[in-house]
Amino acid sequence: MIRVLSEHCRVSGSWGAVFVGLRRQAQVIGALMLRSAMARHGHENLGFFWIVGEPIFLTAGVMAMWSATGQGHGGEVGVIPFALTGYTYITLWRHLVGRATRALTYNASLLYLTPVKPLDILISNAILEIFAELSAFTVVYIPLALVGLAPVAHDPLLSLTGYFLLGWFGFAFSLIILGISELAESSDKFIQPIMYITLPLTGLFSMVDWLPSKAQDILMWSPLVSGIEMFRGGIFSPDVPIHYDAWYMVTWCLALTAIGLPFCEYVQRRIQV
Amino acid sequence: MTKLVEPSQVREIALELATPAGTLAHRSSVDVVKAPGVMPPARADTARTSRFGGYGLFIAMVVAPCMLAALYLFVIASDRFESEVKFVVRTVGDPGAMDSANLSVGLHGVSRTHDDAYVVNDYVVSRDALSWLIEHENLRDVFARPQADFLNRYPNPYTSDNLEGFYRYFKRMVTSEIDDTTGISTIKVVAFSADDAQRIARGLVHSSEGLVNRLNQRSEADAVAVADNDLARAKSKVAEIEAKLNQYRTSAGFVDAQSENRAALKTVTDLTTELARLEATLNQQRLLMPDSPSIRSQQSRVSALRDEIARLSATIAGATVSIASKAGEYERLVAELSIAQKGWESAEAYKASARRAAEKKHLYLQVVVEANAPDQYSFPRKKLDFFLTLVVAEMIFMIVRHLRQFAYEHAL
Repeated sequence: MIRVLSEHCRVSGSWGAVFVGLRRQAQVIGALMLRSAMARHGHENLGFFWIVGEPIFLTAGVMAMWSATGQGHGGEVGVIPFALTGYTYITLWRHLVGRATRALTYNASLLYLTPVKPLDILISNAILEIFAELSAFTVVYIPLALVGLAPVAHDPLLSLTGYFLLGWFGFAFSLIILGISELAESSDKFIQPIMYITLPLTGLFSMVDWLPSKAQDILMWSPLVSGIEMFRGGIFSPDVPIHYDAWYMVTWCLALTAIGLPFCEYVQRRIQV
Repeated sequence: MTKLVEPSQVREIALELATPAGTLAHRSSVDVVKAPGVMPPARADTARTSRFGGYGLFIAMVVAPCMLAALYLFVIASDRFESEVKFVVRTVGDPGAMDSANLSVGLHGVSRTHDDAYVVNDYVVSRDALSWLIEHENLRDVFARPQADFLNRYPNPYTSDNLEGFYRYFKRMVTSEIDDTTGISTIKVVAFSADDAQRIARGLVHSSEGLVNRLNQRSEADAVAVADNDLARAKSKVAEIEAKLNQYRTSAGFVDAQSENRAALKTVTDLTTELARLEATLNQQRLLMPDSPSIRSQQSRVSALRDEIARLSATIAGATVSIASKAGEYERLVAELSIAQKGWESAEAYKASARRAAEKKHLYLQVVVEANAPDQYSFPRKKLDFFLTLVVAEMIFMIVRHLRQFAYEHAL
């Protein structure tokens, strides 16, 4: 017991070696990102740029549908920016978790390469996903803002903070999902439905201020809600009241990462590809 | 740049992969299958030769923060007491809390309390309340007590020493919130002694009552001012019409046209009666004594009467200086006067009812739970805060450690 604890507290290797390793890891992750982009979309048509184009189609389609059915809530918040922000956020969340499911199994061929470790695959997927969604959002948002259909973001830093916090949260969550899906046989069947059922917990459907106060209290317990409120809050006009607790979300991210990284390491050791 | 490995190297690499990654760190020197095309591993210094024997990161990231936290929480930090007071703000005709029919919990439903309740909540954490407390309850001394520790007192090293800084500090110490469904507001005051907290809370309630009274007076004065305005206008209208009437009377030269008319008519009637009598006497005289000398005087009297009657009739119904034509204008003025007087009556009645309605809208602040003097401190939550510090430090340490180890494995 003491031995386990003391092993836990000790780190090995010098910092010099660690920094060399970090540079190497950055190279590996960069290469993996390129490979992933190429593998997903090939060289046809837009090729690599479908990474950006695919979310654009999703988002534009949903926006058109929502504005056609007139699902606007509240006068100050237009349907189009509401749908755009919501859908970008949700797509990032779903992709981050979705691609982590059995990622090691699907990417087994990559693991034969010495420099490639399972965590690298996850990190590269996450980074690619984050920046792809962000680019897709920007490409759709800027024309809309120029035309006037979407408000010009008054606090882009807040939006980006919310977005990147979601990126971190999704990455940490994906570590755990990876572990669960690799270790438990049929768990990946449950993951998608659970994601759908917990969709209201992401704060996608309405802004927190529109709900009655009891529902607000319940919803604020979800860290994803803080993220989306920050994301939306930076874009909508300052009159729109938003409720978020950034440090709460950061704490969740820290906790999930702290659980996910050792879990991932454990999976790494146990996995039989 | 990563290079793809040749198929011939796959076996060697697979062998290396077969050793669990985590145990590599425990060897003092590393044997790695040197496949060509793979970068040579960095020199793996074992952490056992480093200064703290590999525990340095742990000490820096977990032990040190926890010791600092323990030092602060258990030694330095001062006890803070929290006093709580609950009240409601309502009007006389208020139905009170929302009944169940109004509690729509849907995505579109919004349940709200009486708007006026938020007024006091906002006031309690405003600069006005702060100034009031500084003046009446000696707030500066309350937060500068000697037992207050250097981080929680005011003035402190990280807040500016002016009213704005004090206000920010004040907002940390006083919180107010309102429950939407019951309408009950709660104020919590934190201070460095139980009595102080209670005193400040009571002071805030007292000051809020003053605010509510001022609001009431103002709204009542506004409502009554409108009614007063109407009343003054009605009065002045009546006075104006009466003045016109008087002016008309003096210029036309008689007091009351109607009674003048009546008097003239009566005179005409009397004169006609007198005339008829005289004519009868005259005829009788002519028949009985045609040569009587009084016939001529009687005839002259009859003709004089006739002239007088004709003249009076002309004044009654004549064209130029006639009572009838003046009566039309006069009647109009009299009618206007009676309307104006009715207007005055209704303005008076409205003023009385406006005052009553304003009284009905009065806000009342009712204390539900009096400010308490707690016998135990509420802050700092020593064990909880220490435990949280430990947990968060440990989490950050674990993340850094694993990432570090991961990076280190890439160097092998």
